[in-house]
Amino acid sequence: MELYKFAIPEESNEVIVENVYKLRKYEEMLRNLFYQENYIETLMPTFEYVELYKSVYKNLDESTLFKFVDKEGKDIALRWDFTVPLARYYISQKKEDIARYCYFGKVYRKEKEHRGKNSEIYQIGIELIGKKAIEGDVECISILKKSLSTFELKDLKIELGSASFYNRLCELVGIDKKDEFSNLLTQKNISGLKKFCDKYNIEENLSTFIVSLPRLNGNIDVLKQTINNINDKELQNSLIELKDLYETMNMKEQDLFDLACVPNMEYYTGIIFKVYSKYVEKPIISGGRYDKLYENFGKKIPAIGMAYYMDNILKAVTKVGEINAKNSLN
Amino acid sequence: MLKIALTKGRIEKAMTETLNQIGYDIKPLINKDRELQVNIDDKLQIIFAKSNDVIIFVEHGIVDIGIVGSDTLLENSFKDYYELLDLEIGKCSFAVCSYPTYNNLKLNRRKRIATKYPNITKRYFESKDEDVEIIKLEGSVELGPVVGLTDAIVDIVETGSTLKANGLEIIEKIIEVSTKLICNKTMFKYKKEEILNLVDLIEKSKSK
Repeated sequence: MELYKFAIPEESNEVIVENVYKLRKYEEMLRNLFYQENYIETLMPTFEYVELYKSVYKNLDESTLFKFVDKEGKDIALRWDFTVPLARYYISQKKEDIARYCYFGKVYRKEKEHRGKNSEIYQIGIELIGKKAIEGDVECISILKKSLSTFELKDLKIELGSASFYNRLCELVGIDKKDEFSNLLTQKNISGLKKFCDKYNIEENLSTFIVSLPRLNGNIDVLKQTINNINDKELQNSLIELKDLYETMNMKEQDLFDLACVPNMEYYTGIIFKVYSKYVEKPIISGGRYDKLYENFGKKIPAIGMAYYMDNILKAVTKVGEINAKNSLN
Repeated sequence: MLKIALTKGRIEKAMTETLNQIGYDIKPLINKDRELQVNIDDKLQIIFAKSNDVIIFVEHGIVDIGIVGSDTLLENSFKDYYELLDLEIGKCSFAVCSYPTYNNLKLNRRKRIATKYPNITKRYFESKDEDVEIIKLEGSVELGPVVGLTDAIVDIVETGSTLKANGLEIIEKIIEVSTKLICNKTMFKYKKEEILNLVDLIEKSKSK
């Protein structure tokens, strides 16, 4: 048993010394920004009912939950995300006004062992509830843009995708083939999409377009060209929405569009966005519009939100620090 | 410069040939001794690794691209990559293999299956509504039935000569296996042109 005096469980994540200092500094800057924009800070419970998550995430991999049985014999889990508890909280208020929430805290998701992954993940985020596209999108993206200078990271790329574009693609391909198509599109599987189109005899123009989708992940030029090249009005409109947003928001040349973007949650309806740093292998921020989430609670309420993955941000900042230190030695 | 993790052995050989066809100088690959990392024309940096490790290196963004068999990808829990291309090299298939008497077996217990791929095996038998006991072996899985530990094996079959030499045969094919070009998602955002350029070259050489 001696081992337990010195080791931490593999699920644990610890942040020490300079990284705590940085984390608190970023947290403070983001908190100031969110307060300025009238976002109310919330402190969500550590435990939630498993049923709450299962009712919203139909395909939830339950093995990622840290589960317990409470004293009534009900299944409860450590907080797996903030969006769902905040939706529950909003509904419990029995108001239908616009609400602005921000949160700072950890979520707990079991990872496979010995892969260099943590199961406690520090997230900071906002939820803007009751405000529709485009107004809501503009508010969220403008806060995102204001926040990016916090991290002293260069080469950040904001990437926009569209759930309505994806939904229309699924309609064109055939809803019965949605799952197979979505898996291939998520993987940008060029060979797989080709075989898929052959297998189902998809009409030539559409199949050429589908096979080209993995390549359509680039800057504003890619988006403009695609808008000119496609005939389907609905597809075109969803891309024009992205282009308008890009222009309204004064986004930058290096920012990206991903036309093969597949929403990773069923409730996404509009824009989906991610922020990348080349110094960390996973996105540092992700978010999107999810007007369907509240249907799970019997309401029709539009909403948009985003989460900052603080561990990924710290990893990128640390990496940049290491590179700078190395360069100054040479 | 693109960083590539290449699965050692069979896939390495086939991929070296592909790189040769599309015009890379493959001498550094052929002449490597015990080096774990080789550069080609200042364009590609290639590291050699075991298949599961190739996926780990892609997962952590250590390399941009991984060249790895779909058998390993199917078995692995990490799925958050782009699978840009089927290289159509190192083709083989997953199969249930046993003695010819397998289908007539009458047992008073669950069947026992030896495999290096417990996840794939589990999914396959689940899809058949069959409950089996899976025993993971690391080396020659064929030993399972040969020494009487298991009733059958689930493994990749290339030529089938090992099976034949031990009196075993393919009972049922499960899925085709091929070599895939996978890519770390974030690296794709920063090196798209280079990555797609390589993909295009390989695609063209395939259609020849």
